[in-house]
Amino acid sequence: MNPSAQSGAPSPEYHPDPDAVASHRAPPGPVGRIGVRAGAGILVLAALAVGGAIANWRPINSGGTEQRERPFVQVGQVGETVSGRLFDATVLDVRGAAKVTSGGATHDTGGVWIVIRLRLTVHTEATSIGYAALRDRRDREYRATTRFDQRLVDSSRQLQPGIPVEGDVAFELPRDAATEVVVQLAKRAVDRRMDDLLEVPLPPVDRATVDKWAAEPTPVVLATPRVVAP
Amino acid sequence: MSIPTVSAPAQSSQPAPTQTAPLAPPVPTMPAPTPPPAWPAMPPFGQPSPSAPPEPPHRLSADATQPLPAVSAPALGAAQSMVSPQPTAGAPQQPEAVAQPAAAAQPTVTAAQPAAEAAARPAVGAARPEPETSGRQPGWWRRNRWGLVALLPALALALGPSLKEGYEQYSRTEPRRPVVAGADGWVAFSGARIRLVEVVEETTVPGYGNRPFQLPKGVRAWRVTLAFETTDPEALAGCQPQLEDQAGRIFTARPAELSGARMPVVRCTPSDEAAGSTYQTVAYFALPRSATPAAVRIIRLTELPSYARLPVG
Repeated sequence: MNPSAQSGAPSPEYHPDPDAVASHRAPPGPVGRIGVRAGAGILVLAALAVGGAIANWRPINSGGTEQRERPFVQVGQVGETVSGRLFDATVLDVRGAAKVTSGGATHDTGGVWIVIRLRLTVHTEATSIGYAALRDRRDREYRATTRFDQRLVDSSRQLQPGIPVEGDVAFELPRDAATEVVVQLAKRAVDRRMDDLLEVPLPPVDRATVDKWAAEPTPVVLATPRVVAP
Repeated sequence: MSIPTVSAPAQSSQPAPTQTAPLAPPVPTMPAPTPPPAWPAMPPFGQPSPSAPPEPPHRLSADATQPLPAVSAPALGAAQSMVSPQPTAGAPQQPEAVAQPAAAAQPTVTAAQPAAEAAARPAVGAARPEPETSGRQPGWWRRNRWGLVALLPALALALGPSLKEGYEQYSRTEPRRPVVAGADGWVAFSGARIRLVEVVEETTVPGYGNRPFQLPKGVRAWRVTLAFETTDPEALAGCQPQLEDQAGRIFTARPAELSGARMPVVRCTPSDEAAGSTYQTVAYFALPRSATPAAVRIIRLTELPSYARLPVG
């Protein structure tokens, strides 16, 4: 028989001993506290190390860097003005030739010369144009030739705002690439990431036309850049 | 009915302290039930409670050296009944200490209290009640408040230098901070003083071979005269004068549009013939016919982002 039930005393189920702690850990001692702080310090150092590793991580063209930082392409047609961040460009004319004359000297080629007449106007600040290229259907790039000076597109001429300048630019291509090309223009010669790139596709021509250009004995005289009326 | 009386020393290997309270009689003649004891509020580790009585030794701790008080026979019987192989699934849960009034946390101690306390002790091996911690320990934000406060200067120290360096590098790429003229029209810039003497349109630009230069259509030529005052001849070496029109467009000196015209070389340093610390220079600009000059800017790469700005007129 349960005596507490007989006496009416409080049952142990409802009156636990307040001092009877079921379980707990003793507070850490001096050594334990040092260990806790050392652990926290190690965690901080580990966080700094991970952050530093991430900050110094320089993936080489991984994660689509080339796609992510591609230029902003502005497309126009021959005869119309294409406007970019810094300048406007208009392709006025396209010709093909076996020889070109610049500065009194004539230059031949084993392929074909493509000569375009350009008009450039910068917007707000004196600026030079450093990149002019033709890109064919196979995505091959042909820069404006450097066999002679082409001051309009070799970064050497500063264009003044609001003063349009026209001139010829020559490109030397293999004949199979000359049938369908796109003109590309930009300010910077090397790094064109995340900047405007002006594109003008040239009218496609057949191979017979290209061969005819390559057989033309008369050289095309390149027009030097000159100021034109706005 | 007889309840065997068992002395406390028989339950412990340690000598028990002297029993001061009389043993409860075998027949239950317990006094009126006392209010149920409650768990006192437990202070954080290492901090004694200001109101709680001194903490007695843990009865069920592993420390077997603690002496146990003698208990009465009924209480021991109750304890034995708990030690006996009875189901323990119904082990009592500890009451919520925060829900108890403060007075209940200090139960009246009576002579029969040790018996009740002994009866209330959970048996060894029984399911232990969950310790009550709600409201007793400070929260995460309170425990880490100083760390969070220290996080702000730590972040500032970690990010500040690189942000400052990046901003300064970005600022140095272009002229962004104009240094304007004082009331006398002079601008103190790069260790020299500069004054705009005049800006005039040149309708007749000199060419070579005693022939005037033919200006392109739609272009006007402007001649800018600047005066300098410095004791250091190289103070403005490599300067670049620019002309700003009222639309904010920037034009450079000695432009290609005026190639063929007889223009002096633009320099902000004294010529070999110049005597003293004061000298002048002339620069030509080509602007569209519709443009009107608004200011002359003197750029020096080593002074960027600062530049001298001299308003026209």
